[in-house]
Amino acid sequence: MRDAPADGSGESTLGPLSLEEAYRRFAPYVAAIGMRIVGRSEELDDLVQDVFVEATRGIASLAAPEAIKGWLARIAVRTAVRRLRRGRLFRALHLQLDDARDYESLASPDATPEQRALIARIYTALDRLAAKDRAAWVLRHVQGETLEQAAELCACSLSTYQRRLRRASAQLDKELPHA
Amino acid sequence: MREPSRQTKEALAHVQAPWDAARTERTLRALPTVRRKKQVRRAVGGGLFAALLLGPALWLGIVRYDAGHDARAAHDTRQLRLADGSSVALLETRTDVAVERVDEHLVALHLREGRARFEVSVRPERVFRVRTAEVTVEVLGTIFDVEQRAGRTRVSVTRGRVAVTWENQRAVLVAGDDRLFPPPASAPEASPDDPAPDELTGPLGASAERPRASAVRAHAGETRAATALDVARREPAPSAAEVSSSAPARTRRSARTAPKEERSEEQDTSWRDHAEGGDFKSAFPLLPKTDTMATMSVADLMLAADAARLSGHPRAALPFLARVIEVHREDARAPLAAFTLGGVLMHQLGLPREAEAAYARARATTQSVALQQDALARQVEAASRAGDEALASKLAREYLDQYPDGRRVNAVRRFGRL
Repeated sequence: MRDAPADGSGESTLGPLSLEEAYRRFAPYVAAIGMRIVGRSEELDDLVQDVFVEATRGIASLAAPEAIKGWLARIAVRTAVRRLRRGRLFRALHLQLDDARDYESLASPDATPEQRALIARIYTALDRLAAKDRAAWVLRHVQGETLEQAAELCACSLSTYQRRLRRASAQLDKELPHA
Repeated sequence: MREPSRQTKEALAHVQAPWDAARTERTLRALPTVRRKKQVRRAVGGGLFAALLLGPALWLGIVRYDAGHDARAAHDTRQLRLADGSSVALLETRTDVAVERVDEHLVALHLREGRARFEVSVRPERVFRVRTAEVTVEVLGTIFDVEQRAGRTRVSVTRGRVAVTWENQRAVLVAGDDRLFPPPASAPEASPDDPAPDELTGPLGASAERPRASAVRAHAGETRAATALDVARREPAPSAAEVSSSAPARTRRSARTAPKEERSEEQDTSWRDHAEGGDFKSAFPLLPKTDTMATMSVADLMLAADAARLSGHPRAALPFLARVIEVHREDARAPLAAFTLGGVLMHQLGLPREAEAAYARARATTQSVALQQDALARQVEAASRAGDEALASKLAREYLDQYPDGRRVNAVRRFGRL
């Protein structure tokens, strides 16, 4: 295993892969997780890049380099949650310059108009959840992870994860009773 | 805890990231810069923390990024404020400025990459210097832009005067000046779809600044060109969906550019600044919509088409080119638009039959012998690619008859199977 220096100064490796190889292979996966949690395409470039930059700094702490995909996914979830919180803070301080949301554009081209509208309603409701609760719900119901996998991605215990998921679901039930 | 309904699950299955290989490559290319900036940010953060602990003694130390610094994806401009009151606006995501020295006698900055605007406070006793790989710019109280790109540096002065030095040479620029350094030894490089530079010095000229009314000559190509224009007409101008999410901060319109009568002043013109600077990717998301094309000048239509096709959105270029060809058919640039349309159709959209018609139109309407020759050669190629060997052969013979020493003889023979 070629470890990156702890200061992250440079070496473009991610465990057994070069940074470029890892990026080309896993960037779409990281983007999918980030997009589903954050819901904003315009933040995606930064988010994916941040994940890989963070990954190169912390790769030395990864015990099993072959688990790089899961490692990147955990960083992606953490980064997405951080971005959600920061966005919320910026909005609260009126520092968010571009707050336009177009959640219908989250849908793939083959989605029906009704499905687009439903996706937009769900994500608008998700905007009102705490960032960690939102991530918990998205990982389970949009990303399709099992409870155990989702808990691992959220870097928390299963019971903590379930608590977050329950909170999120209860809130969404209130906002979207028929969804 | 209730599970989402089947309908909801089906809808959520359609949530996807608009990510493709091109986006992977684009963001991968920018990754080293992002890493460097993060390191700088960490260092600056650490420095500020130390400065807080040590008190105001470090007031000369650089500074703060504004609140928008972290919101790179938002359409904001990052600001670097220097202790002497000057500021640097980082106008592109990739912009990389290093502060080399800030003291009472000298502010020295190094623009490693990208474009930045420098707003310099007036302090006669202090020299303000910006260097790039190619040049050094020195000022006393002014506003100016510097862009470092591909071995060249562009300097645009908004207010005041600057002195630019390079390779033992020096030039003084005043407000309104906008120049490339080192000065180009020859004309700008043409795009692959454009006629060769030497052709463009003919009566038509590549430069959109030289309109000259031309008589439209009747030709058989006029009829076939309709098919190419049909394709072009069907294409909408860039839509919001095509707009890239990484659009840069909208910038002030610079004082440079083409004659004012050529401009449509009511619209947002920041796309033009990007396009004229060769930054087509940034220009494309800002292009005017179809319904405003009627107010656009020919120069703007051609520039918008360039921004679309050279930023990887060939279909979006079609309406702009079609408008020049149809509505401004008497303009000297209409044949060039038809020629460009042919290139877009053949090389970018894989529509050689329609491309052949566009080249025929270019040939029929231009007075430039060079453009006629080139358009005919491309017609041969397009006919061949469309599988019309008889037409390719006929056109190839025509080319060889008219231009026996033409510089595309070999290609014409190959495509015409002669």
